[in-house]
Amino acid sequence: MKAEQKEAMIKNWYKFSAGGVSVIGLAIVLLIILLAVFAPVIAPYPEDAGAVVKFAESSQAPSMEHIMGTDTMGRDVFSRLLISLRGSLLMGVLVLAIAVPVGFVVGVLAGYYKDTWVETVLMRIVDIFLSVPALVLALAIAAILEPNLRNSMIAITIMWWPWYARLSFGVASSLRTENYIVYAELTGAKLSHIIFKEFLPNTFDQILTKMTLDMGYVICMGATLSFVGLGEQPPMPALGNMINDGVKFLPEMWWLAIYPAVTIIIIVLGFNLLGDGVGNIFNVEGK
Amino acid sequence: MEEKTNVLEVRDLSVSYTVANVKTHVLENVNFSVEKGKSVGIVGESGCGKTTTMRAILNVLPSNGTVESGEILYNGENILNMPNNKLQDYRQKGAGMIFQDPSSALNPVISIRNQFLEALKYAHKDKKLTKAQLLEKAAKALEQVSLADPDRILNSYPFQLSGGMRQRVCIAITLAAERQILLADEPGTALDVTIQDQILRLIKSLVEAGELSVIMVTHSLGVIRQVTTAVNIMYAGTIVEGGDTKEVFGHPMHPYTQALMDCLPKLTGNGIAKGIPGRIPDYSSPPGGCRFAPRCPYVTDRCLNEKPVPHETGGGHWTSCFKAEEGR
Amino acid sequence: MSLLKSILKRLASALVVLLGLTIIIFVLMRIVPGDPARLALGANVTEDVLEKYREANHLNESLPMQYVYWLTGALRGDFGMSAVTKRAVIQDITDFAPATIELVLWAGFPPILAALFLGVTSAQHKNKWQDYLCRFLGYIFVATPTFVFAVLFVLVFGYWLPVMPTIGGRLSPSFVIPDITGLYVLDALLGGQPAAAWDAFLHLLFPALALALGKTMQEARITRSSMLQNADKDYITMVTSQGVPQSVVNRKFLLKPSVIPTVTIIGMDIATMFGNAFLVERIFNWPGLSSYGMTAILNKDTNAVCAVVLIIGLAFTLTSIAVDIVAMILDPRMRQKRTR
Repeated sequence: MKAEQKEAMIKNWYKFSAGGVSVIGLAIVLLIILLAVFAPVIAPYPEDAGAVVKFAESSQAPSMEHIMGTDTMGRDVFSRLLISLRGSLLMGVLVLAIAVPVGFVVGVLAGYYKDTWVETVLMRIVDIFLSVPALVLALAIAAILEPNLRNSMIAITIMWWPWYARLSFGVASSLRTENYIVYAELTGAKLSHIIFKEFLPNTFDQILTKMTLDMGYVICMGATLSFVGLGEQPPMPALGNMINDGVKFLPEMWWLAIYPAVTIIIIVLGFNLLGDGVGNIFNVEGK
Repeated sequence: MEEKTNVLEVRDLSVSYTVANVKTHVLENVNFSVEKGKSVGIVGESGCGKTTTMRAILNVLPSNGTVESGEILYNGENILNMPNNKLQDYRQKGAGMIFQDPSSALNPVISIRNQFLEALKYAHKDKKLTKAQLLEKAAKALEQVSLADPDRILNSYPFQLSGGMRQRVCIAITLAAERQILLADEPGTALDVTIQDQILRLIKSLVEAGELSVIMVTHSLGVIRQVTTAVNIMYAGTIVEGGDTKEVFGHPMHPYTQALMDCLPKLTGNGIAKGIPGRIPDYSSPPGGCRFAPRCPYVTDRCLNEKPVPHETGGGHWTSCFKAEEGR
Repeated sequence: MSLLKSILKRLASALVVLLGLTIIIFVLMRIVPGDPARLALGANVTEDVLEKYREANHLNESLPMQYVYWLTGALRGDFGMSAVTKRAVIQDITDFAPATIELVLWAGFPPILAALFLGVTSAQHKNKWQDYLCRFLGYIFVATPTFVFAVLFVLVFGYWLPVMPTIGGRLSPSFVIPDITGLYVLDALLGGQPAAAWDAFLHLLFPALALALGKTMQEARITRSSMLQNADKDYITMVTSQGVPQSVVNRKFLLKPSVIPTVTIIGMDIATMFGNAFLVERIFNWPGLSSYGMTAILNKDTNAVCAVVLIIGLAFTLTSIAVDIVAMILDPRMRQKRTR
């Protein structure tokens, strides 16, 4: 048994790393998580994450003391960037932690009760949310609520669950006539058993793959909202609001916008590569 | 004299696949030949390399497959190193294959009519046939495989047909090309018995009319007995015994062939595993000697360390087995 | 026949979905904290004026009735007044929409050809330098948020290598072109002014690229992987084994099934561009519907927000229907599948 598990793990690692680049993705993601967790310790000037003004050091280009330069308030860009990773990762985790279970249950119910009013109602609601670009409605919702990090998460969550509903619906509606589901019904299994013990294991591969990819995209959308001022509010740093601040000082103080921009690209890239690798393990086509 | 009438000869063919960076030696020194106007069978368990042999004969191995050594001679010319245009010519008029899995052998987004036309256009390119004549051939072939309404079938897309109909369409496309050699990979396994029987009779009649040479790949000894005149028994990528069908079935000499005969009544896709203890070896590290040795009741030290070579026992009947060679 | 039926079914379900969208929009509009009349008119008006406004806009009726009034208004193109521009929202929209449509058309359609070309090239040169280059750029571009592209383009092509004519606007002020379609490049060409058309194109180029690059590389990636997947399918082996020449196999048997997945996501991609245009237009100062919508969102101009979201939902839905129809024509199987 032990040996078999080991063999399975080796096999999965082989499949995971077959693309070659997934390992880089894993490394990037691990690095980002470590940096975010230990940000207050690593950051050379952790106090710069707040409303600090150090005029003596303002607007400095990257140097040994400030490897990514300082902003107009004299705050260390590198320190602010490290602290902002925490909000970004937190957003990714929380949004998916709510959107995935909600979407899964809605989708599976609709799939299980295919061709009944349950499916019609649930999937029409899903369709309505998918009938407008997620970003547009998320912007509108975030704007109507008070602009802050929590509300931007709520707005993104509202726009994100329908994707998981659609995915689970697809799987459940094709599986619902399988013998093991019918058998479970005949033996009087409860609905919760069918959803979590029969459908969940069969949807898990695809959901996990999509979740890995989506971590990057949720963080990306969060940054987009904060870029237009609908996320974390100054003086607290976020990837988006740092870029927005920096854009005003282009092209002279390029370091203000470029470093956060590159950070976002690396984060999304990391989760994309990781997601491809996870997809390879399960033979799920990533998208 | 016999040599000259062989339309196809497979000599010392070895094929490997690379899966997960590991090389698996699927075929090892496979030898057999097909006489003009005769039908030859290849029998063996699932996974023993029958389909790989078929694909190698048409030089259409999957992208991770490589021919390690050997040659495949069509009218004396090796198709494995033919220039492209000659190879195409051989595929158009020389040999054609009925694929094992009919559901995946038809293009899902192209109508049956166009799939027929494309295939037949090239197969009959020398005859300068019109589109109508090609479609006539298609309709005739569809009728031969008992598909009653050819027009409707031709106008359909694969997803609109049942599995059995698709399989018969595949067979019809291959037959309508009227090539010299037909490679039939488990033909008719998805069909009901009566239709399968009809198709086997059709193939047999074409062979008997002298129009066709056939290589019939199957795990069913019954089909082999019904259709073929010569047979090769394949085990784990090697041919262990070959010869005249009646002779081989009447006096099986290789322990594997004998075991196959013994479990005849329950011989189905996976019945063999029950009948013969053990399973097909791991191709990534096959046994050093005889590949059947680990499962053979008569195994000796020699079997484990030395590869047996074909040993003629008379009447064209041969086997690769030390037991037969040593007369044990 | 079955094709027509599928299309009609698709349109009917789109109608239901759009109706649902109006409900969501209306609910959102009414969640906004504060008195809608006060929000519309500002702080320094008397209670009398507010009351008149409420009366005129049915704000004293029950919520469902308000919805009915709003919907019937919206169907007639009456979305009320914009609190920011102080004009009828519908007038703003008709003024600003062509710029966004022009931008999305350029970002959406020409790059499809590039995506197919890159995907096919990449697949045909699997594991050679062309393939590695495509995949490398693909990974980077797909991971880059649209607004980051926009910022980088402004920095690089606006300041460092100033090839952009000006930042902002659709046309240099020295040109005057006839107003025919509202699409400047086309209008300039129709007016016989190639120089103006080129100028308008240069204005378009970088916003359109910023919108398109990520999606294009995504489409290329999907084309590549479905080409490679299909190349090993039995139906390709079958025609190859029948002696059909390789070029014919690729063109007639491999390409068609392989581009279908790309076509189906193109609809989604183009539709998403209407959303991403919100940021691109803002950063490039492109005077379109999306930057109008963005301003409305940031100023809580509810009438304008609702109208813009609804219009974009409509554009989004129509685009995906159009693409579904193309997919149904390409793939006979989709005609039978449940459409959604």
